[in-house]
Amino acid sequence: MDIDPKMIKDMVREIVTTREDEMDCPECFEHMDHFADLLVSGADLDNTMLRLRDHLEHCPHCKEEFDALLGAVRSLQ
Amino acid sequence: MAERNNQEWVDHLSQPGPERDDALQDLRTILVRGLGYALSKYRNVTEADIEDFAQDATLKVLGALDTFRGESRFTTWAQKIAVHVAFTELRRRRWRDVSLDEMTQTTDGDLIPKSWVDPSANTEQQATQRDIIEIMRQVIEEELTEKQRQALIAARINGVPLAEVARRMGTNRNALYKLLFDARKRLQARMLDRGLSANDILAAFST
Repeated sequence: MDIDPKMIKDMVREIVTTREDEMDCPECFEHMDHFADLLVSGADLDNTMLRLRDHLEHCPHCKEEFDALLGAVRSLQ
Repeated sequence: MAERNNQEWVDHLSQPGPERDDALQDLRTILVRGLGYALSKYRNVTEADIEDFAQDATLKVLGALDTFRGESRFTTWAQKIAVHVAFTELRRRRWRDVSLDEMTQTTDGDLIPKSWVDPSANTEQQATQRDIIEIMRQVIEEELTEKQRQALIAARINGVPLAEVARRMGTNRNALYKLLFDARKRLQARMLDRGLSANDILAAFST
């Protein structure tokens, strides 16, 4: 079976962009609501939010929840 | 539906009485509406499911009122809890009959193929791709622990949610995330040891 090239590229990107101060899942969950509101309002992101955004690029499970949350928040605007 | 600021939400939900009843009703309406949108692309979710998720989430919100810090809108914070409740249950349902062995199966013998390059890449990119792929294969086979390999295959290759993998491995989601984080750091270090910069590597795989 041919390997999905996108999967290889995604894995390489995730590995190469790994950072020492990476946020973990509980911390991401803690701040996820704040991040959603900031994105919807277009406000600037501070360092914590940038770290959260980075976590979402490395954690498809948190990203899936965040995308659903963002959709829900935007739908209720 | 009444408009409430964050403090009003917390105050109304904290004290028994007609204001609490109204606030509870409004909160459920908001959560149901939000979940309906959030879960619209998941075909196996029914209206009854959404009502159940909203109900469970409402109870969790009431139990966690004293943890709300006001950094976001109250309704966003509550919606976050509702989305988490929903996804936890949906993932549990999807994976409940799948064993760890099944989660860690690969379709062929190699996690990363021995000789993979992107045919659309140029010669220089393909050379870098071969180097990086070889490093990945070597690290995964010789330097990662068995748990790291299992977690990588299950969560990253087969797309199994971390919580489901963790449950079967006798650990928790965050511990598993850290296991994978350590694996990524090791892979990153070996890649950069070759003298390529992160940008060089990303450029080689950008086709």
